[in-house]
Amino acid sequence: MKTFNEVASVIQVGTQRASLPTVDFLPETPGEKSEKQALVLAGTLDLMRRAGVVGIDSVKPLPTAPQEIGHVAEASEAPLSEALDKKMTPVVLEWAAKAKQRRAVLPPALLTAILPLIKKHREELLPVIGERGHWLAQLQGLDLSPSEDEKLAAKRTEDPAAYREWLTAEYETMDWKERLKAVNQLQIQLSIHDEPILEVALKDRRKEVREAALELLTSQASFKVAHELALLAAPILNWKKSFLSTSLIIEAPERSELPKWLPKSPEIDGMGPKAMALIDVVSYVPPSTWGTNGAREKFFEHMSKSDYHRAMLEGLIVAAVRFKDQPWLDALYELLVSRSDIYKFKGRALAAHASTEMFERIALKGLRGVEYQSDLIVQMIIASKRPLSFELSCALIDTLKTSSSSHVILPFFALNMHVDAISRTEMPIEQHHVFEDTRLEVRNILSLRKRLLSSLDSLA
Amino acid sequence: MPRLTPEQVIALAPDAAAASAGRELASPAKWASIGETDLAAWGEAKGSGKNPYQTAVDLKDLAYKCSCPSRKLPCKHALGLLFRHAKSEIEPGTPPTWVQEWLDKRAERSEQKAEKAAATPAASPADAEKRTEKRWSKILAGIEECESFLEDAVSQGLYASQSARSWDQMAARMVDAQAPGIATRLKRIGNAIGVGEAWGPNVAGQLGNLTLLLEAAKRIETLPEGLKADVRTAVGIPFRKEDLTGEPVEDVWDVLGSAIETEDRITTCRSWLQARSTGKWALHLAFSAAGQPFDFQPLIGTAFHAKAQYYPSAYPLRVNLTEIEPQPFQPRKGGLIAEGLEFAADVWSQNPWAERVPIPISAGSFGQKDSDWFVIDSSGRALPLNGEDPWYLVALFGNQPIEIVGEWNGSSLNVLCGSDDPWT
Repeated sequence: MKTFNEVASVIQVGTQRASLPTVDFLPETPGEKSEKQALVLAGTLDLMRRAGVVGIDSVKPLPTAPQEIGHVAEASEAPLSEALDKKMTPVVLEWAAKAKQRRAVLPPALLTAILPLIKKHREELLPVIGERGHWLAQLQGLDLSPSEDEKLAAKRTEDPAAYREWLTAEYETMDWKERLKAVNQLQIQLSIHDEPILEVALKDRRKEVREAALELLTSQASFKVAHELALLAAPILNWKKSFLSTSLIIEAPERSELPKWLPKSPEIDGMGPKAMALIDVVSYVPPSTWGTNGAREKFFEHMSKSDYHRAMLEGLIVAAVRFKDQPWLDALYELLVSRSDIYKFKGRALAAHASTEMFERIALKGLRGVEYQSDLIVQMIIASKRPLSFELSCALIDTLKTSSSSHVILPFFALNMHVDAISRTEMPIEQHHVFEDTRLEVRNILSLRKRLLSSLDSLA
Repeated sequence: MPRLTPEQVIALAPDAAAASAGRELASPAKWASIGETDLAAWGEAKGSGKNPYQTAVDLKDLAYKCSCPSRKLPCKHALGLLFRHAKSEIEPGTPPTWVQEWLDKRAERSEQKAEKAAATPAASPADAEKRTEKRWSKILAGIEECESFLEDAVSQGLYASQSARSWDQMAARMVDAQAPGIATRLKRIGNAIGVGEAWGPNVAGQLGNLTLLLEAAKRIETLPEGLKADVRTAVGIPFRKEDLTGEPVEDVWDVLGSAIETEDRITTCRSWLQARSTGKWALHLAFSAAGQPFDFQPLIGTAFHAKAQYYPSAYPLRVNLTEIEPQPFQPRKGGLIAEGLEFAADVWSQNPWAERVPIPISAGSFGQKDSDWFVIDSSGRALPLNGEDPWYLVALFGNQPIEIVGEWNGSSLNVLCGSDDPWT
């Protein structure tokens, strides 16, 4: 082997620059050129090398996995493999959610394809990789231990008071990212006892930490900050009743009147300083402050006549999402879709947070061309990324027969459609072969999802 | 005739999309009519048009017919039919006329081919010899040129000969000289220079092996018959299966490994078979150009009774198969790495140009050293693997000892198959 490597080196650098090693097992060939000698020697030694390999005995096998691999979803292997081949990660995650409920684990043959996805989809995939997956991840040097956030959340859940004491004691020694993570976990079992440490965080050097603290301090009315904001909000709406009518006057605050800890919202074109200050306040006040049910409709009606109506809407949308106020989310979604200018606002957030009932009702009307613009509705459905009902899925598939643009976007929906809507894709579309291709593509995706989900049905 | 498994049907699909579409077509609702015999399966697949597509599969030779416009072979309808066949969902029946006509035509063509081969008058020995001499003198002239090229490269050193283009140009001249086997080797060398950490010894070994071939070709008349055939094959003069004269070996052949490679637009399927009664190895090669299906592709995990006629060689391995009848798979147990290496040494000592040798390893597991992968047998002996990592098999079997079949090229093992099924 040593001689072979020496000959290989000579061939690499050239016989003009290096000499061949001497060997005694080949007959001498006086007069033969050194290049030829090098080539024959390489051929002979290579053959001897190949035929003389005996292997090595210094390699130890990797450890073996535990024999028990759990409740393997054998029937899922083929469709799951197909989904992985097609890089349809959402479909894999959908399977994982159901597999987790059934306490089923991934077929080991697919572990090498799944483990690269773990980093990004740890929460969804970790429960389904089973003992074998953990063993393999350890061999591959993948860290599956809980993230820092998960460790902190567990610590807080276990003993909120001890967590608070620990955070108070360690706060000044932490870097800003650690402080941010630690403060965020105070949301678990948040109580009035957390107010002092949150007040400290509200004065933090980093904007991110201050904003995290403010989120929590405005989330419960019992906190001083929430109370202070309520006082700031009180003079904003002024109802003027005259003999014949009622009008709404919105008084926007001056920025200078606002506390320093209240962050400034990003600038919006066409909004002056007072309008921006109004958004800052409204976005941190629970929307219920401004009225409920009948009062909300009256409020919308009068608000639309105000110079500050756009600023109010901007603030209200942020607040409705922040405080997860479902009636307000639905009311704002319906209001803005009906005005067809939802995209001027944070339409994506509203589409994602509107209740299923409201979202579907509007979407169905829109797709059927009743009341709302169907193009706008389609954009909202894309933005929402939410699972669609059977009825809405069928309505979307039906658009293929009426809308020439549907064939471009419909396959995107197929990942969120109800799998039983596959029945709607049975009939070939004869108008155009492009539509037919789309039908088949949608059908293939739905079929794969259906097979994957039903592959878990046989498991107890 | 053993049924194909769904996995084997997937392996037949030209791409993942066809496999997926085929699987979808495996639903009973998709077929207006369907039936099968031992030799064929057929059905009428509902499509988007008024008339269903007529689909048939010759189960013996895995040939397909479908009236759909798809250019894929097998098309999704044929795959759908095969999936249903694999799941034993097809009721036996009598082939309809269009199927029977197709089967009859296939049989007729096969007979005509055999008759034509038998009837083709053999060239007179004198003419054939003259042609061979003419070709061989052309090859020898090419060899002389090739030798000068190699010597120049070695004189200057490979560091100065890194351009793959000059190797490709030399390869093209060897094609002109009617020595395509030498051309392929030159191209491989040109592509290997400077690639990977161990390219120096790797290329030196290939250059040396090619030099031995050129030397042997110049002295071919002095070589024994078997080695003469190996030299001719390595130079690129194929041996026609019609000219095989050896006594066929009749046995049940278990398919233990298979690899598919594409080079110069020709796809080759290498299948390693082992004779059930003697343990003798055989290599079946199938070729396909431009995405066409192989005439016959033995699938790993299947077995068949067949007559195998070995191609002439100092160590015969390649076979031509005839009279193939499927049988249940039941291979022998593998052995120790040392036994496999002994076999490899035996092959190379007789045919230095054999590129790969099959090695079956019993109770093999995998290990790593300095980030290189190895397969390790029950005695603790280890062989390095080629670039492919074995994570798939490690995950599947938890690195418990398994039966492994690989191809050994003298430097690394290409794992073809792993199974925890205790082979007898």
